[in-house]
Amino acid sequence: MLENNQTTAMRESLSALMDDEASEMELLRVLKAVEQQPELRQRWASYQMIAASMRGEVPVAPYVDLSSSISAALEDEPVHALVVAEKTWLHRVGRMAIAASVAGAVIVTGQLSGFGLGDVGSDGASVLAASGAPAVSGAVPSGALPAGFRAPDLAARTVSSHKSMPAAEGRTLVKRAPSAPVNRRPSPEVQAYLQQVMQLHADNASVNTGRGVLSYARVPAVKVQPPESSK
Amino acid sequence: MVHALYKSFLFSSPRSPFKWRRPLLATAVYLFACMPVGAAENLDRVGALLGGMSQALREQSYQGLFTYEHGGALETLKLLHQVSDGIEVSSLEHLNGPAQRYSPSARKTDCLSPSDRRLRGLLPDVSGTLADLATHYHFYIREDQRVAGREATVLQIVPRDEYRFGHTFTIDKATSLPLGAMIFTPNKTVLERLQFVDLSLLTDAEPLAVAPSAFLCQSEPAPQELWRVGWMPSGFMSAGVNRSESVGDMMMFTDGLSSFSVFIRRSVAGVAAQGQAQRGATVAFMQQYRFGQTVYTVSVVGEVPVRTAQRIANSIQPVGQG
Repeated sequence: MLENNQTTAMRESLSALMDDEASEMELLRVLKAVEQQPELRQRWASYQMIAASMRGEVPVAPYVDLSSSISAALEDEPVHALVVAEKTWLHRVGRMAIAASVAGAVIVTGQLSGFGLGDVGSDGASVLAASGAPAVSGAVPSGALPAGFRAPDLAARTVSSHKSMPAAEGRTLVKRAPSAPVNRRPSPEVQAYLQQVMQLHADNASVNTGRGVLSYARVPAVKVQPPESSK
Repeated sequence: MVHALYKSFLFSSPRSPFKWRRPLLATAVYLFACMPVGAAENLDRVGALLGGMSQALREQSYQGLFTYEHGGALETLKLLHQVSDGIEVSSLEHLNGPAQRYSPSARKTDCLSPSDRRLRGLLPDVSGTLADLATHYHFYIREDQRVAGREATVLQIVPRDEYRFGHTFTIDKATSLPLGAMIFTPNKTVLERLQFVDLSLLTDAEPLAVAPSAFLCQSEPAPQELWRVGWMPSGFMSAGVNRSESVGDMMMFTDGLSSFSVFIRRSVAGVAAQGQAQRGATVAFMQQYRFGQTVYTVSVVGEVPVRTAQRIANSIQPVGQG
């Protein structure tokens, strides 16, 4: 019963937030609750989707959950390395800006979804070896995804080697050093490369999943064809 | 204003055994949940359905309009597939969003992919039945449905492990073509749905202006591979390798119903990203690895759960090492 009341109160806070009527306390409470309750997070996403569709703004990828990014940005603390992957992109944005934009932040297009991006060079300067131990992720989500992509649910494990997959000899997981400068600009190269591999994979899927040319429906339609050559 | 709409989503109540994520797909899941559980896994009938579908898709001439629904987005597409003298050509056009058209290269209809062979029961190791698929999936034949004005058989394919997705095919009784296809996670969250609005067979297909010599049947997987995939879910087999300047080495795999592709190339500035992305059922996982003195970008793209993609990426080894 108590739980039900709490849930109802939380839903009220959520809808107040949707209507731009939430206090700062309510905002923090919602963000905290959303972190712990996937059900509430999904509800929030649904509300956002409805509101967006009523404004005629339904993007290609309506469900991009950035709520924990927002929480992380608000916490204003160093983020633990194991969960850093999905949480840092808003870090430098001011509190006010976050609070103001929070109601609209759950829905963004693929342009903002969390795909790690970094100039990992082959010089080793920004490369950490992680053989043996479970690797931590220093991926910095920013950059761009092909239209229609979204970052997977944040509950998923972040980029790291699987615990049950011991790092094999001779193979080293390359990670960005936390101190390395961060490239936050969207990268057309990553976008173009993903688009390219998607398209090539669709060739594979079209002959190898028993659904023929229907598989090409999965390749996002983009205005600009990816460049043929890589730098 | 928004409050009033909340109610319309109450039907996706938390009492449901399934996860509710995308309201637009809720109806599909609802149907799915209400279906009676198939009593017996009639493998012969399932084999006939899958084999018939695989064959019809490639050997019939048809055109149609279908919707592709993923993550709350809905797209409409136009499909044209023509067969003449044993050669198939097809095109797929996006009807909304940026104008885009795919025209995969023409193929001979008797050029069978590993998936075709598995679905048609032609692989030597399965001796005409779906034994191998059945070790990885449960098959259920659900209540008939009517889609695009046609009567259809509903075949639901549920994975037996967590490494692959499930499928639902709505197969036209008259033509054996799939009128609908749905992919869901092992937890039965629907990821994408594809459904025809209109489908018609082309009776008088015009002769195709394609020289038969212009294409080759893709040969068996090349024996000489530079990379070894140390782990992949059981049931997946190689479906060929490829190499190109722009994306590097490509290895393709299928278990008959799902496929994934592995891309490996030297890291270049600007594309040395790491992370994961998802669109409908397609997952892309990208990571950088150092082999010897060189850093490589490994990308796994496929209709598999992201943890599967990640595990596959982590298991890549250059041949000759390990």
